[in-house]
This record gives sequence, structure tokens and C-alpha cells, in this order.
Amino acid sequence: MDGSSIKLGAAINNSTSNITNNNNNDNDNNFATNNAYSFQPFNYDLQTPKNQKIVSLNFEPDKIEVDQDSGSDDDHTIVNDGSATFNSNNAGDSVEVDSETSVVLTRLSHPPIPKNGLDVFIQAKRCLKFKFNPIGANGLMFVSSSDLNISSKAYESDISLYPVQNISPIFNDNFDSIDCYVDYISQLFKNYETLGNFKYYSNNNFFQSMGCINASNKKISNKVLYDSLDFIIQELEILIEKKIDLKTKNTTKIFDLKDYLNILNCLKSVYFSNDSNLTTNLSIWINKADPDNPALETIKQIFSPSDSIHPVYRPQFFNFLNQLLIRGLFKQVLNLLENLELDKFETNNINIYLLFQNLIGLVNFYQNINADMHLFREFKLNSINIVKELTTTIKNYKINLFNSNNNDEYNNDDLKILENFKTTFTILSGNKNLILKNSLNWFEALNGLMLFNLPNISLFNEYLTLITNNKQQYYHLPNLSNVWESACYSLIQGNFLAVLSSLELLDKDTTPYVATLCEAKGLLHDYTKLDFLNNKKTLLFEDSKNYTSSISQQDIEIEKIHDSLMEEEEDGDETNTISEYLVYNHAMDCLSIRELIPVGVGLLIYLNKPNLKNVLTEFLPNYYCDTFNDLEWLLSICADLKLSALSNQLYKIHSINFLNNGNIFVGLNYLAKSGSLKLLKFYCWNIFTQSLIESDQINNEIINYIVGDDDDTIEKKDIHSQIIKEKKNLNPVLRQCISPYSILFRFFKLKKRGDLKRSLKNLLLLFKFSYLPEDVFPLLLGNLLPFLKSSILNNLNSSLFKLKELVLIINLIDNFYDNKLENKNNKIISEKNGKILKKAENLYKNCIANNKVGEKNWQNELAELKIEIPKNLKELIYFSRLCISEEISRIFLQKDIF
Amino acid sequence: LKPLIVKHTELIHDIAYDYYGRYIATCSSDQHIQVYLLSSNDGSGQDAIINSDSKANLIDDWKAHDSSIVKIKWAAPEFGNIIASCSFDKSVKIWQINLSNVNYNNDTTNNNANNMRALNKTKLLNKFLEANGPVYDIEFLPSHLGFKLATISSDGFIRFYELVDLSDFTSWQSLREFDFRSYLPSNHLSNATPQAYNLSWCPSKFSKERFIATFLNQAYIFQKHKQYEIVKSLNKFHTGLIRDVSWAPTMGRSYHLIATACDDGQVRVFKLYETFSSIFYGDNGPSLFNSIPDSNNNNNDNNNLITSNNPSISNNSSTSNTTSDAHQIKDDPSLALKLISTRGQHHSIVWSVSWNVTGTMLSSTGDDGKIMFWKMARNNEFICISCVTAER
Repeated sequence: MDGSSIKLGAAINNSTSNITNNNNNDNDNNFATNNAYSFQPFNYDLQTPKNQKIVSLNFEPDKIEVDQDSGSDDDHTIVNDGSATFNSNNAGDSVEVDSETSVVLTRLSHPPIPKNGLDVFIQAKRCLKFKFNPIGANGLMFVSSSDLNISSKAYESDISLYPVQNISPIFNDNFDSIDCYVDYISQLFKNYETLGNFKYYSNNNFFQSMGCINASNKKISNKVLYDSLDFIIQELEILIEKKIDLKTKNTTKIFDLKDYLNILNCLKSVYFSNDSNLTTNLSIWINKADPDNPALETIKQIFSPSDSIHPVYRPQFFNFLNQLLIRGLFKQVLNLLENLELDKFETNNINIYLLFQNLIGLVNFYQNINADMHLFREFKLNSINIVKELTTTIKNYKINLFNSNNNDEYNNDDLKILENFKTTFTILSGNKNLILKNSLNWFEALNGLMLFNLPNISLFNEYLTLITNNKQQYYHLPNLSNVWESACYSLIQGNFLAVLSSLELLDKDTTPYVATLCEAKGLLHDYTKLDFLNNKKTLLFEDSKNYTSSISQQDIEIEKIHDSLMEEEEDGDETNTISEYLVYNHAMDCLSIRELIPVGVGLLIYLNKPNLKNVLTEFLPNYYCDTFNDLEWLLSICADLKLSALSNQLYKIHSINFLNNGNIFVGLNYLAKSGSLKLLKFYCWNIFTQSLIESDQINNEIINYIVGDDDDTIEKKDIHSQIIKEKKNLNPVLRQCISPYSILFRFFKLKKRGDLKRSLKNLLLLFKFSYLPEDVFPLLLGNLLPFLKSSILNNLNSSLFKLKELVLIINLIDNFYDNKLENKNNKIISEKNGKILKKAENLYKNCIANNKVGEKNWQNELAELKIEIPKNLKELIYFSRLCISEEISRIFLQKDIF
Repeated sequence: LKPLIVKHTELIHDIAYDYYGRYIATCSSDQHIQVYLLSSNDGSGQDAIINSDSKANLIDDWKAHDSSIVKIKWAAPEFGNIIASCSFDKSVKIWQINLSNVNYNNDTTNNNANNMRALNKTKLLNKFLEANGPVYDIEFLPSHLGFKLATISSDGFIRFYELVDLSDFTSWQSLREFDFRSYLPSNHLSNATPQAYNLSWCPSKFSKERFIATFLNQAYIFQKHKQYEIVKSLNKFHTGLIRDVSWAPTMGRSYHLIATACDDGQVRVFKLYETFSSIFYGDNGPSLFNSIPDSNNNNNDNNNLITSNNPSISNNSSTSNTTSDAHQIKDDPSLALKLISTRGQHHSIVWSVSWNVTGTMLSSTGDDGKIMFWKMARNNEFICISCVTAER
């Protein structure tokens, strides 16, 4: 091989390379071709240590794009002092931090207080107030007066309402990527749903096969939990990608999520893996978590095109090779070796060639072990045999080299290579010391030991103790200032509470789902919720001591004792376990965001705590139903949980909404379903009264269709099929309440058709109805007048009335009017009667005032006869009596004739 | 988002969202009440705000009182679109807003707004004139307790009203009143007296009927046991005027959270919870109540308080000057009250506190020109998670 042809390709020359690092899949081998060496470490993303630059993000191990250009087009930079400005893409956009609270400070786009104008604002007796929206994660701020009784001219900024949006812990760190975060949480919830009973930890998981416990149940459970965690990891990767695509301002959140991802990968490999995927997952974890190694610089040095030295002869080559092996990057090792043009050694140096072939053979062998311990032993045996042979070879080589006189056949370079090979094969044989020596850090060493010493899940702690034992020659201590490293270290040690706390800090909303999996796996089995809550418990009043001088130390001590006694009973959220506590709180957060309300409700239902019904009873009435489907969803929850009182309340609330919005039938139907009979009667009589005032059927096709006969003129095609169905199965309570209007409707209909007899029959039915509200009596009476004048109006020879019907009406008039006026002895009754008469008169006058000229109604019919319409109740009664007298006379006369 | 410019001519004193956050009612020193449509669907207000180009969609605007209107509240949706307002003119009024003709489409041009206004007419249902001083706060009781209204006025009374007939919104009757004049300084009716009177009701359906009333620098929790009685005092915690109080939605929790905004610059959150004893004994009456004097009386000496009246609610509206133990509190031992958080980050007068729908987040505004949002951490302490400044 010509040394000059060894190039680093794009990795160095073009600053960009497409490199394959394939741990899981078949190698796509994207090594640069055309005799160009190019190699890329496992993963490069987000930041490089020097310039903290976000380059690109691709977590697929076999497809990683890297932009090493540290040029000037940095879009995102971070400042590490914690209180500085985070620069973003858009010039001028910045995230400020409030000095008092150390949280992100948001400025209103059009703030009411000018810069440095706070003192003037306060002196002008202005103050700020804020109200939360009762259903959403938003609210309105407004300028108010600190003195309510003063009157002062307000400027535009004083009489404005300032919307404040996305007020939720869920949105807090995701203020500019809310949609994708909502999607993410929805996906996590779906994943949570699929867990079913697997989310409950059981030693035997007996629930899956009651009475038939077998080992496969545990396997199924482990598989479900593993897949579930894997799903969360995938979704988290997608979220990070989306956030980067959106060029989110809050870059710290991306770094937090990246740390979170590293911890999840560690969790997956250490606690959720089985023997077959342990080493793979472990490699994925460490390589994703530490994408900066093997370092780019090393690659540059090895593949430097400046001279013709073969990479194998470079001092860094074997370090690099060993690091790849310890990191489990076997595909990359094979790619590397295949591209070294080893055939050249076949002719020049057969020993080295054979050693490379042995290495390739061993690496290939290792990849086919698949947790088969027999094969693993065979692999180790082979490695050890090679080491033994190499020891002899090196020994002989040294003797030959010593005896040779600058003979080209034996040289120091080849000796060095042989010794390096020996180190490499010794690492493959699982030598702890050499693995530790050749590892850069504790997790790399852990991976190396797990790969080559003995891959067994139970050995994690033992290995960790070995790695961190500073009494031995080679050891690695974790960098505890690094969030993910510290958390992973705690995780492997089994300190799950510390890990959960770290996870909560990084992303509060993913942690409940992760905690659920940990709980299901039994990892939190030894902890109680109080352990978790007390993990960071501070003394009561610890912070408030400075502010409440009136509270004595004794008070505080008493409160502390009280605290400990009451700790259990004040807890109050009914959750028992850590994961339940986290899920419950997350659910409550979700309930304040409309898009996540189904998630919140779903989580609460799955938690199924004793207070579930209370929570839903208090919350669900707040949910505004845009569509019938929304309401159906609410009602289905009520049905499932047997929340009949809540469903009645929902029916009632929405009935009022529908009635207010003119959807009368649905409103009445819901009122009937809610059991609010008083209100239902009220609205039904309102319809009745409205119809009488208009002296016609009400202008509502659906109600008229419901009360009408099937042969009515309203065409069914105009009516929604659901209404047709509803009519057939009309709620009996509604049927009863709407029946007076049904009679009135029929009265108007028959009268319009000219069927006076049947029409009158219906009107008289209403007069006879004993529950008729008294205040509508005058309106009914008005409708009776044209019938009393029918002899003239319709040229009828015979009266439409029977004598007893007229006598009945006379009695009714007496009862309604005279008796009420006369009964003045009892003050209460008298007042009540007075109110009824007043209301009746108002309705009557309202009816007269709203008469539409040209329409066929009782007022216009009388007008045709040049009869003046009675102006008030008194006149109406008088005129009615006159007409009745005439009609009675006519009946008597008719009797005489016949 | 751009601010919504409303049509008041003087400063706004209160705003109230309707139950679904789709409308807001505003009241002002200009003696007018205005009702605006915020959004057609999700209550976010976003659509309306954006579409209307900073002109909020006015539904109705009417002169409601003869003096500054201090507070406005919206009733539960079961009762329709009812709001109540109280004013310096000593009156409380109940209004029915006709929203049936409101255009729910997002087409919210000015013309449409004008049309909407023309079609809608708000109706005065009732007015209460019992108060002898400005009425500073009103509160509809939670709907499960019926259609009731409570008011607090500077004349030293908390008054209760009830709608007798749900089908007749004019049929209100006065229920009872609580006389707290003995708690007030002698000059409490003068204009110089600070205006710090607040009410907030426990919204839970599953606990006893309770509310908190604050007047000047005093705060008491009342509980209904045959009649309303003071069961807890929060006085010792406050060292200034209490400007606002808010009882959090309980959402199934067995404890309650109450927040107060105080002149001493503190946002305080109290936890009220029932101990095992109450669960064991239940609501068995007097045996659970031990009359103990309010330990804070000594602290209030400099407030010129008259300490001669019985702070129990009377059915007789003319009750006054009955003598008994000073500021007697029928402390309910089954009920525990704990100050769980005191936050002084505003470093100035705190004017308002407000809880979100689930009672998991608290907002506070102060004279530092900021709105702070608080959330309870695992250690029960409230931590600030977000901060908005109104200063440019």
C-alpha cells in the first residue's frame, strides 16, 4: 500500500464525513472508498468539548453525520455561569433569568410599564393583578388601582388585558416547542397504556396466569418492560431531533434531554437487558453517552496523509484499536481492518498478517456468541491460546532481533506491533488489568470487562468496585460533576432514589413513565413513597424563617413534631408508591393543558386511586365540550366509573349551554337526562309561553318536529337522523313536560288548516289542564276570542262550543281574576296573587306589543272585525266575558230554533 | 401576544373568566361592566386575540353601578350566564347576560362585534342594598351548595343570599349575615381605611362547607356546623394587610391549599387538612369543638380593634353589640392548619394570588412589576417556576 494514498478523506479534508458505525445492524460500510481512509467515532452530536457547538444529531448508530467545522456559523452557544443569556439563532432573542427567583424571566411583548418606570407606575397608584383561566394554562394580567376609590384617567396601557400563555411546568422548559412536546407526552401515555397489568410489580406475575405460574410469564413481563423502555428512548430521541430542527431557544433543555437519554440507555442496559442484548445495549449506552471518544485527533494522527507510514505502524493505532474493542465497536474494528490493505502484509510480514487474520476471526467469532456461554468460553480459550503463542513468538523475535545485525527481517517496529497485538489479544481474553489500563474512563472499563471478562448482569457491582478501587494500579473514578455520569454511577450502584431525583430535574414529565417501568421491574420495591419525598425534605419554615419573624423557634419545633406525626395523614394524594406519586402529579399537570387532558384523565383512571372519582367529579365539569364527541367522551367516563351524579351535572351544564346557543331540543333532552325536572318544566313552559306570545308555533323546526305528528309538513330530510331516532325514543320525562306545547302546536296547526272544531278542542284541553301556569291564562284567553266570534268571523251558523265548555271558561276566568282580586285578607296570598296577575298582564302586553301585522293570529282576526284589541288584562277579561255571554245566548237561541 | 384593549375609560378593578374561560367580564372605576368574547373553542383566548387585532370582542357594555365597581364574579354554568358585581355604591347586583346570539365563529371583526352587542341585552336580575359601606368582595358559593352568593363589605358584615326558585332568577332572599365589626378598627368606614376585604370559598364537593374571609390584616377560616363558625385563624402568620386570598381547587386531594397575598411582601400558602380524628369521629358536633381564644389577639392590639362582639353568624340581620369572649374561635381539633410556604421574592406589596384549574400552580403579582408562578415541590415548599415582568 502506498502510504500517500492513506487519506482521512472527508473526515479531515472536507470537514464532513458519512461514516458507518453499525452495532446493531449489518454493516452498511460507509467507509470512504477510493483508497481513502476515513473513520468516525461512534457518535457526534450537539456539542464538542471545546466549542460546545451543536453540529447535528443522529442517534442511529449506523448513520452519523458530523460537521467538524468549528467555523463561525455557530447558531447556539451556551454560557456556563448559569445566569447568563442564552444566545439563539435570532439576533435579539434571548432568555433572561430573573435574579430573584433564578428562573427564566419572560417579558410581555407590549408591557404596560416603561423601562425604569416602575416607581412612577406605583406612585400613580397602579398595581398589577393576574387571573388564571379556569380551564387552561394561561391567564390575563391587568393594571388595576391600588386605591379602589380614586378615579383617574386611564391610558391605553392601563385598560388593556395582557395575555400570559403556556403557564405550566410542562410548557416551562418547552416554551418554543410545545406542539412536539405535547406529541411526545401523548406517545409516552400510549406506551403507558400498553403496559396493562405489567406495570405492577410482582415476583411471580401471577396475575397473568392465575394458578399456572411459569417461567415464561417473567420473560413476557421483562420483554414488555424492555420494549416499553426502548419506546421511551426512541421517542426521546425523536423529541431531541425535533427540538434541534425547531432551533429551540432553550438549548439547555436539549442538553438536559441528552443527559436524560444517556441515563435511560444506562438503565436499559443494566437493569432491563437480558443476557442476549446486555453487551449490545451497554455499548450503545457508553458510545452514545461519550461520543467524543475515540477522539477525532487520534484518528487524524493515525491516518495522517503527510507521510507514507502505514497506520499500523503509528503508535496510536493499537490504542485506537483497543479502545474500539473495549467500546464494543466490532463492526468498526472490522471495517478498519478491511480497509488497511492487509494483503500487503501477507507478502511482507506473514506473522503480522496472520495475527490480523486471527483478530478478524476472533472479532467475527465474538459477534456470533449471542450469550452462549460455551461459545464465550471457546472465544476466551482461543484468545488465551493466541496470547500464549504470541508470548513465545515475541520471546523468539526478541532473541532473533538481538542476534540479527540490522537485518530487515527483524526490526523493532515489528516487535512493537507484536507486543501491541499481545496486548490486544490479552484484552480480548478478558484481562482485567489491561482492560482498565486501556480504558479512558470507568464506563468504558465497565463495558470492556462486561464484554471480555464475563458478561453477566450480576457482575455489574463487582466490576464497578474493581474499576473505582483506587488502591490498585489502574482505576477510574466517575466524574460526579457530570449529571448523566453521576446518575449512571448511582444507577449501577442501585441508588434509584438519587437517579429519579436527577431524572426529575432533567425532565419532569418523562420521569413518571420511567419510574413506572422501574417500579414494575421491582427496582423501587424496597423504597416507600415517603423515602422518595423525604429524599430532599427540608425543615419546615427553613426558608420562611427569614420572613416570618413572628414565628418563634418553639413554634417551629412544635410544627416539626406535628409534621412527623401527621406526615402520613396529610399526604393526601392517595398514592402509595413512588411511581404512582409521580404519575399522579404528572396527570394533574396534564389536566391544565387542554391537549393533554385526555392523557391526564387516562393516567388517573389507570392509577385508579380511591380519590379518582373525586378528582374527576371536580375536574370534568370544567372540560368544555366543543363537539358532541367531547361530551360523549365525558359521559363514557362517567358510565365506566358509575359517576351518575357527575353525568347528571354534565348533562345539566351542557343543557344550559345548548339552550343558550339555541339548540333547544338537545338542551331539553339533556335536562331530562340530568334529572333537573324543575328546570326542564321551566324551559318547556318557556317554549309554551313563547309560542303563545308569538301566537304561532315557535320558530324551531326540531322542537316542532318532535311534538308534531308524523304527517306534519316538516320534511324528514331536513331533520338529522339522530333526531328522528330521538323522537321515537323520546325521554318520557321530556315527553310529559313538552306535551302542553304539543297540544298548543296542534291547536295552531289545525287552526291554520281551518279545522276549527278540532283546533278548539285542543285549546280547551289546555284550559282544562290543571297544571297550566296561571300567568299564561290571558294569552290562552286571547286565542279563544276568535272562536267566540266565529259566527261572524267564519260565518258559522252553529256555535263551536258546548254550553258546559263555556261555563268552564267562565269558572276559570272567575278563578283566575275575580278570586285573586277578592282575596285580600291574607297578605301573603294577596301578594302572591298580585304577582301572578302582574306577570300575566306583562305577558299579555308583551304579546300585544309584539303582534306581527299580516300574520293570521287572534289579534289580527279580531282586527279584521274592527274589534279593538283589549289593551290590558282588565279589558281582556271584560271583553272575554262579553263574548262568552254572546256565545251562550247564541247557543240558547240555537236550541230554541231546533 | 398583543394585549386586548378594552373599552373602559378608567382603571379596571377586576376581571372574571366564565366557567370555560371563553368570556371575560371586566369592571372598572368608570362604573361600567363589559363582557368580552375571548375564544370560540379552547378557552385559550388566542384566536380571538389574534384575529381581533387587539380589539377585544365586546359582547355587552353597560353602566352597572353608581360608583367604582370593585369585584365581578361569574356563576357556575348550571345557572346560565349570571354574573354578580359589587361596588363602592354599597350595592351588589346580579346580572343575566344574554349570550345566545353571540357569533361563535372566529370571524370577529369590529362590525360583528357591534352586531353582537346590539343583539345582546344584559338584564338586571336583582340588587342587594343591605350594606352600609362599600362592598369589597363577592363570591358565588360552589354550585353543589345551591345558587348562593356571599358578600363582604366594609361595614363589617359578611352577607349571604340565596336564589329561592331556580326558574325565577329574581327570587333572591337574604339568608344570614356574619358580623365582624368587632374585628375592625373604629374608623373602618372612612375612606382612609385600606380596602382589603376578601372572600374565597372551598370549592370541594367532598369536604365540609368552608370559606376563608380576610379583612384588613386578619384572616379566618369558617366552617359550617349548623351555622358558620370560625374554626381557624391565620392572623399570626400575617404582618400586613391581606390583599387577596385564594382557595385552591382540591381535585380529590384530602387537603386544601389556601394562598394569601399580603402587604408584607409575602405570598403564603397554607395547607388545611383533616386529621384521622375527624375521619374517626365524623361530623359529630360540639364534642369536637373546644373553644379557645385566638392566640393572636395580643398581636392585634395596635390595630384598635373593638373586641366585644360574638363572631358567629346570625340569622338576624340586625344583630350587633352582643357581648361574649373576644374573638372566640371554635377551633376544630380535627382540622389541622399549616403554613407550608412563605415566599417573599416580590419584595414589595403582593396584590393578587390565583390558582390554576387543578390547584397545582399559583400565580402572584406584586409591586415589583412581576407575575410569579409557583408550584409545590416534593418538600411541600412552593418554588417559582416561571416569572413574567410587565416592565419594558
